[in-house]
Amino acid sequence: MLRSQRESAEAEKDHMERVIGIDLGTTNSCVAILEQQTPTVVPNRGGYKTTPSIVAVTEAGKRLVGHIAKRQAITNAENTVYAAKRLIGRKWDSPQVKNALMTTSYNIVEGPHDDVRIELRNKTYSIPEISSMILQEMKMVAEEYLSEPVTKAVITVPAYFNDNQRQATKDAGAIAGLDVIRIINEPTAAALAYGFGKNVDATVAVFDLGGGTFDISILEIGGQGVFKVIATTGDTFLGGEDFDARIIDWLVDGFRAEHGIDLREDRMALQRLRDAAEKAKCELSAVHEAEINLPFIISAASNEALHLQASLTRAKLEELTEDLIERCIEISKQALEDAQLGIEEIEDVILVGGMTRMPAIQRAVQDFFRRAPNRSVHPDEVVAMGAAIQGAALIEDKREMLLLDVTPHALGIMTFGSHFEELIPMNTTVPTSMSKTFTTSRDNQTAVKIIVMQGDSKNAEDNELLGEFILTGLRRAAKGQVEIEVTFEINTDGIVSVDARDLETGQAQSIQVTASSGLTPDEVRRMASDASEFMLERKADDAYESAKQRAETLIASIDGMMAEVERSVGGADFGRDAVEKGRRALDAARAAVQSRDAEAILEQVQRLERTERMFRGVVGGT
Amino acid sequence: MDESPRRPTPRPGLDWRTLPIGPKEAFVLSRLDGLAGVSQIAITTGLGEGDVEEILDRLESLGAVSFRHEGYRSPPAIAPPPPSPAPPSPPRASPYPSPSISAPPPHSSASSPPANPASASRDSILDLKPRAPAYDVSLLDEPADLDRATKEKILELEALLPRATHYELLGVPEDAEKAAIKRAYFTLIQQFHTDRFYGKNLGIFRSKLERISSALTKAQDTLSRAKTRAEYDQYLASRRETHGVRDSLPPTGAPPRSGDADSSDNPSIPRAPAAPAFEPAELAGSVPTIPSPSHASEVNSERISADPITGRRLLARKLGFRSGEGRSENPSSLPPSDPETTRERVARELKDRFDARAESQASAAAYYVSMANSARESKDYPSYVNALRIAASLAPDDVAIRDALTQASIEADRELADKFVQQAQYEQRDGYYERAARSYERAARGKESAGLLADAARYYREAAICAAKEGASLKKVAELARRAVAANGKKVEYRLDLARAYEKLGMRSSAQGEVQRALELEPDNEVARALQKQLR
Repeated sequence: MLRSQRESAEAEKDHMERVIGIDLGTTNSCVAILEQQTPTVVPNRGGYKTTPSIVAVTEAGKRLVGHIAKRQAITNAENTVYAAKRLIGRKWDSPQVKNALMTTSYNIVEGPHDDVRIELRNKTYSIPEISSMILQEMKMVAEEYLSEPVTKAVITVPAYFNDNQRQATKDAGAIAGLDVIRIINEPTAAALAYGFGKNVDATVAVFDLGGGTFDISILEIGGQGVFKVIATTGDTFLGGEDFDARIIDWLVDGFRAEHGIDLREDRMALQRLRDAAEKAKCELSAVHEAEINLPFIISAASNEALHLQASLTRAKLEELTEDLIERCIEISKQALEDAQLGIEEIEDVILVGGMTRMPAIQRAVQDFFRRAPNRSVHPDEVVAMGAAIQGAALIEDKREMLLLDVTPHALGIMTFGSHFEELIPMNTTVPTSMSKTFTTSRDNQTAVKIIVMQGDSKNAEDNELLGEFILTGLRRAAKGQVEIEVTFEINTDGIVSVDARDLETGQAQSIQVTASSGLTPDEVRRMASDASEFMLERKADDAYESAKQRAETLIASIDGMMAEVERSVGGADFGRDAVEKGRRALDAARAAVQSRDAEAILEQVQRLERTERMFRGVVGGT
Repeated sequence: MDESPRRPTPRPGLDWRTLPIGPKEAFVLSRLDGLAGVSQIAITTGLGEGDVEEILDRLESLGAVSFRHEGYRSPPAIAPPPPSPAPPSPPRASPYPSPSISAPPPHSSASSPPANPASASRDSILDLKPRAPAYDVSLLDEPADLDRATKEKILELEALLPRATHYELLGVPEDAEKAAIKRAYFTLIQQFHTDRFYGKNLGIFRSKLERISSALTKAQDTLSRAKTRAEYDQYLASRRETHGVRDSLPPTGAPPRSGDADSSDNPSIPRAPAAPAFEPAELAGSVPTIPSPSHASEVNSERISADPITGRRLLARKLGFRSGEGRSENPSSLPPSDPETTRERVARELKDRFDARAESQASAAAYYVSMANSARESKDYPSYVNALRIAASLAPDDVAIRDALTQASIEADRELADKFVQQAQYEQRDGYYERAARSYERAARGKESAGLLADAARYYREAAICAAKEGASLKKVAELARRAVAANGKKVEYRLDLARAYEKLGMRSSAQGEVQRALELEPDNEVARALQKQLR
């Protein structure tokens, strides 16, 4: 007895610690768990293994996520958010946001902290909130599959994300009610899934071209489950969406040449173009020619409806996107250089991301790496699987697997003349710490501002601000006389702390750099409580919907039998009584359905079931 | 010629205290210099060649010693006198860093077996207790969700970090293939990465684990890339070459004293005011000890040579006429039965051998002097100094040799000063401030003896800064600052540095004096004025 109690307690503990892995993609997201040492992707309600990263709010104020949001996107383009990941952790005045302002069909507005918000039906949402809706969906998918609540998650981000973007992703997890135990890089996750359970001892490249970002990582795998990233680089604005954009451009240009109308002006038309472009692109991975047919795309000035019809060949698509593919290869070259490895030292190339299905990309990869890319992993699912593996590896006691990742950008401080002085170079394995000595730039300077930045440009302005603090109490001296030692430290969780001390006076100051997601902790808390309320509402809605459905089926069935029951037993008192009871049950049930109270409906459902049984008896008996 | 091809070398950076060895092994280890062959070691230790071979085998299996590879420029060994069996000398725990740390041989061995403190030697620790852990044992009681063995492992490895080379840290030989380095790294990092203990309370051990992880990764990253590995190898080679002579000068601040050419220039281990080893007064109450002719143990030989006659007389008296002490300290060398007679016999044998060897040593000394001269001609300064040092220890009474040694040390330092600067810069860049401070100091001394005082002052100042960063004693920092001022008194900044160091030491009037002199140089210097105000 005692023993079984303990066993069940242990079992419960195991359940409590289940970690899900979420690939929060630009265009699609995916959730996986580790089930009996096998990474398993959990299908959503519709049976799909990936869910579009699309969120919408309907006219009735209903929130939609995933496939359903994607399907209604054309009719509700202004209130449908796609590719929010491209905006996460970005500053309002960044070029990426400026670019998005011109190309998105939804409304982007400035947030209170120099951040970005999205306006949907008169309500503004932060980007982490939008992302949290997708995460919530993925969480729910996993919970339904596991039939138990899920609280812990490992979420993946592009390797080239900076700390602000990572923090914003963490915030999104917190808003969704998830304890994000680790953020890991997508290509690294893919490598984990690739090497999991096999005794791999090799140097591999992960070529990850997703919907919005391109990453290339070089890893060494060996020593019974150690995965060490040697170099990682990429472009957070190079992905499938850019390929789509080329097709859209081509279509828009063609249409303008023919009709003199710019389809971009019309958001609805643009949304249809977007869908058509993506569809054509995917088709062209299998066939050599794709038809694009968009009837009534826009009305001409004469009110005449215009149609768009075009035929896109694979060769044309390759021509349109040649430079994008070239860029991927250029970046791959850079990664090899950073890793100080020759092409011949790469023993396998793993393709990740839906875009790598494109034959031209596979060809380019094969030409560059001089070997056929590995096809053993599923390009859309492998990242989530890797995240689930890492989650389990951290939580489980066996811990045979170890991931050693690197910081993708240099960390340093801004010095005199807006110069960026690097302390931790990019591709440094964490944990790590580095020190450098600086001096004052003015005579009798008694305080110095330490501005912590991340980025790869010598010019501080081009880099990302992570935080700042002031070291005071310096001894008065001529400029260059006071020596200040600045130490950067990154721990295993990727948290950066910076310490500055006056070597003479010992005066010291340090901060833990909390990257800014654009949200304050209070905001995150408030949004999380909003989100959990929303989830409660949604659960209530779901319960109402299913009760209502059940009730309506029964009502219809009883209704259908009513006439016959009346005819066959209506002459007798008991018969009249039964019919009367049946009518009352129907009325009560209809009233309950009207009240939208799931429990009241369920009560009536029982009554309806009795009535239905009785009616069936009568009908069947005659 | 030495018939044995084995010329053992203590592994540089080795912490003896982590080894599961006994006094006999430690004694042999203390005699190794990378030059002496087995028969010479037999002479210097008074052990039989068979014993020496056996001990060396054991030390090699522990990774404590390695054997030099081909191409090493070593003087041909002299023919040793026939070894006679004798009991080993007793152990002595030296308060100094081991000679293997302070005087690694030029060039490393290629055949060094993996000497990974985290694995190889740990297994043997199970059989034989190490003498003392290299860390503060009380830290084992710090709270953390870790078992004691893991805590021990962490503390041991952490204690090794400041001294071990990248190769030693990973426990691989210096000619290891990239794949072997990677394997070693993966094995170690898997044990010491904090992710292995995810969700556990690690207390003070978290930062230690992170330090270990970083150091392991740094070693791997440096060694896995051809370019950085070449740079590092060059640095190591340079360090060994120069460190072959590194302890030949007197400590900072003191002029070279005749007969005391030893220097403990490790800033974090200040020279003990009264070194217990081999002081005549101590000796009287201690065990019989043979004055070692090996230069590898500077402490011993230099101390003896500081007062060779007294020392020798004392020793002779002890050896010849008294034999009561030391039993408990060296039980292993004495059969348990009938200890009295055995001790007397042993003492007599020792004395005989001592006398017999004195003669052969004189001729050996002459040989090493000629070796030194030819090394000097070929500008092999480490060998030049080393050969003279051996000569000086073989003929401790020969003042000429001693002076030559002092001269050679200065000369070598001067020649090697630029090398030291390069090393210091590499060390500083990598954050090894303790080593950087030492290298800068060496560079400064070299420049000083070459008469390049401005350079000397500059490097003394760098040394002071590095020492301060490392957290060396204020005294050491002040001393270095003082040397900078002594080398170049015209630099106001140097004087102000020194003034501040004095101030921190509580030497207010010395500080005021320095500020005063600074103001004499530059009456309008605001910093000096501010400091003057502050000191009042």
